Amino acid sequence: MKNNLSFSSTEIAITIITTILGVSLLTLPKNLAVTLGSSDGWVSILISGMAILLLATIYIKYVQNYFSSMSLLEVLEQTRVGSFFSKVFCVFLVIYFILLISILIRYLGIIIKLYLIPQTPSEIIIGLAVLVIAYMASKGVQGVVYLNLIFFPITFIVLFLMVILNINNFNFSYLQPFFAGGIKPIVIGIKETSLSFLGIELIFFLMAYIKKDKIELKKINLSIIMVTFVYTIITLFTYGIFTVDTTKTLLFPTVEMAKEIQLEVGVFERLESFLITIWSLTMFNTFSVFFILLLDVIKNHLVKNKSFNITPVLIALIFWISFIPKNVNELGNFSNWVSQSGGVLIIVLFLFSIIQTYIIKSRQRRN
Amino acid sequence: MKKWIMILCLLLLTGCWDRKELSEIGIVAGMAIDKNSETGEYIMTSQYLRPAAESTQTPTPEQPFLVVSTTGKTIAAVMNKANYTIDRKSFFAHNKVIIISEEVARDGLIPVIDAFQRGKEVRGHVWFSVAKDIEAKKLLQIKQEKISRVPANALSNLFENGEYDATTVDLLTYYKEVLCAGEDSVVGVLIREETDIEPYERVKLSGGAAFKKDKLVGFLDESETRGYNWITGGGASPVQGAMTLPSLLEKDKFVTVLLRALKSDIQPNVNEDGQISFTINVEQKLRMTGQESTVELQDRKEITDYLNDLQGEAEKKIEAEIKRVIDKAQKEFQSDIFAFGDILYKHYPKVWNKEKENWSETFATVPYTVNVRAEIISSGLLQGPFKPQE
Repeated sequence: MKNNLSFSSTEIAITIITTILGVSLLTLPKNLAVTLGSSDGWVSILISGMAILLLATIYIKYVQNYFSSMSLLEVLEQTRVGSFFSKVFCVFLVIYFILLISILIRYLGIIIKLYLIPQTPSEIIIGLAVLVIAYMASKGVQGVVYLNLIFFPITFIVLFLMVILNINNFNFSYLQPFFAGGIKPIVIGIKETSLSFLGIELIFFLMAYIKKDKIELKKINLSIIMVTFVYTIITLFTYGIFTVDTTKTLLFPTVEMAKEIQLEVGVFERLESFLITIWSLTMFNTFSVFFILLLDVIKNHLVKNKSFNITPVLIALIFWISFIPKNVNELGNFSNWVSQSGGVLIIVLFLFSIIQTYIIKSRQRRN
Repeated sequence: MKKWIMILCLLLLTGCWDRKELSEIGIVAGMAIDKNSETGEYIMTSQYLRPAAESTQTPTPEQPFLVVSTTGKTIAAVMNKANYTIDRKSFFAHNKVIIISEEVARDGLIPVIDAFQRGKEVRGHVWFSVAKDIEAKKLLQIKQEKISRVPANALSNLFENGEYDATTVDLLTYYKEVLCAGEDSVVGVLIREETDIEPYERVKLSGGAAFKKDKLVGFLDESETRGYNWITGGGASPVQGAMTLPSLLEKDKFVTVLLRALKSDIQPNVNEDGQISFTINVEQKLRMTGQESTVELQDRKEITDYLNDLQGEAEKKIEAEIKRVIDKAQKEFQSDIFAFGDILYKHYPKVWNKEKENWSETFATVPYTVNVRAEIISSGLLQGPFKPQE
């Protein structure tokens, strides 16, 4: 499909990590505390991490290994019925990606405005972000993936620092009692935590860029495990620092956590502006990957006319949609709705790809 | 063309939109909140730093601080209103102490801390205290015994050095305790004391203010606060201080011991009938620092026995103070300041779910046992008592 461009498994694995870590990094502990009411949310994270791991493994082993260098949509296009479904999915995917980017970018705008530059108008922050992302995506997949590689270590060092420096404030007894409410709340929490793994759909597209003999399942799985680990640690630490009841009231608990850092001398404190800056980098990664997928779906599957430049339309659309929710609450509702539909879309896509592969495989066997 | 775009970008995309010049902000070092009892409006008094007066080269002769009071319906409104009267924009991130007047505390503190936590400037590590028998704003102005030139800094150091007869709590801890079920908080108390030497008055950190939910219900005196600190293990700072015991060798002579490592935990017990009780285990290590008696002890065994007796004395004293404060919390306040409920929840979540609706009534009558173990780990650099010779 794509002019001989290929990546190694490590590169794609890192892209997966930086794409998945996004808004959830800041809001997951709070949402979990509200839905569960206890500190057992980390179990839900582990369970949904395992589920995602299973999904990725099955997809790569069963579908990707058979149709090497093909994205999921291309796999569907192999049969006539599949081709029809692929068109339908394309429309859904385009809508989903546009909505998702708009929501994420609005979150970025809100948080940057809240913590870093309160007087700069949101329109400027969001407008600039959209323009930069569009420019980034116009340079193709290669640029986006390499940018992810550059930002990845910075993000991890800051997250690591934030946790290490907060060890003083961590109070284990805030996490007790374990499993007080039984299994039921944990199961309810799985829905919340699974949605924070949105972004995993990129394996449906980007795995196609890895040559067949270079696919290393271990590395892809490791990236998902790392994301699970980061979520678990961040959640446990927020609860251990603020207690579950307090976490419920905080809008962005992870940022508040960075705010609590204070070394004895007082030279090093209030890491939140630092965290927000670094977090903007990971958000930027997330957007750029989604944007490139969006362009990919439109250009390679929907509109085959090469001379048609859709990017300005997308920029305007994203800018407009991102201002539809009036405040954080509306945005939260909107994003719940979009991410739930996104989750359904991903599962449906996955099932269709499995069925398609099964049909083609059995057809070939008959021949 | 490209060059022009780049130059345009350089000019337009770099921004000082949100700059805050140091010369335009007024750094608030301390805050006091009172209530006008007639109108019910909040009075917020802030202590601003005046950097010019602290200059090491050419200090201006003024005081290094400025105290400004503003009134308004809500705390958030007052925090903004300060800008009407003072020539600098208030900047709260370096605030060190917040003093609440007794009246405000009795009416409930949720409206106050909501304003602090919702805004991003005020930090969690601010010392939080209640002013007893005096308006909170007066405490920011009286002449204390201080070396630091800024009163708020001096107050903040009082909290840093707080010992076992006072409680020290920061805003974040208070916030956590208010929101947490099965736990009420005790906040530090500042009082004004008269003295007979210059400057004839001073601020003292003493005792604690007990809360029920977010409302002040009463004060703990120093002995009760000691009991509280023994149970809870000291809160923000480790428990320190000197305790005086009767020297058992001679009448009207005393032994002084320093508090060292403290270990304390609360164990909830639920028996078959569903009766809840608590066991409080306190293990206090002590170090002898003063001995007034002059009776000579004969040999090592006698010294050991004597130290054992002293330990018993210390245990009795600690136990009495612990019982006193629990008694007061149960009978007078009905407020679970020791977080018994929270501990019950951690060990017996099911029992707690049944009890939590009317926990304060259950707490008021809940039986408890206290086990104290005091241990004198060292008698300082000297062994037995001195004996003066003729």
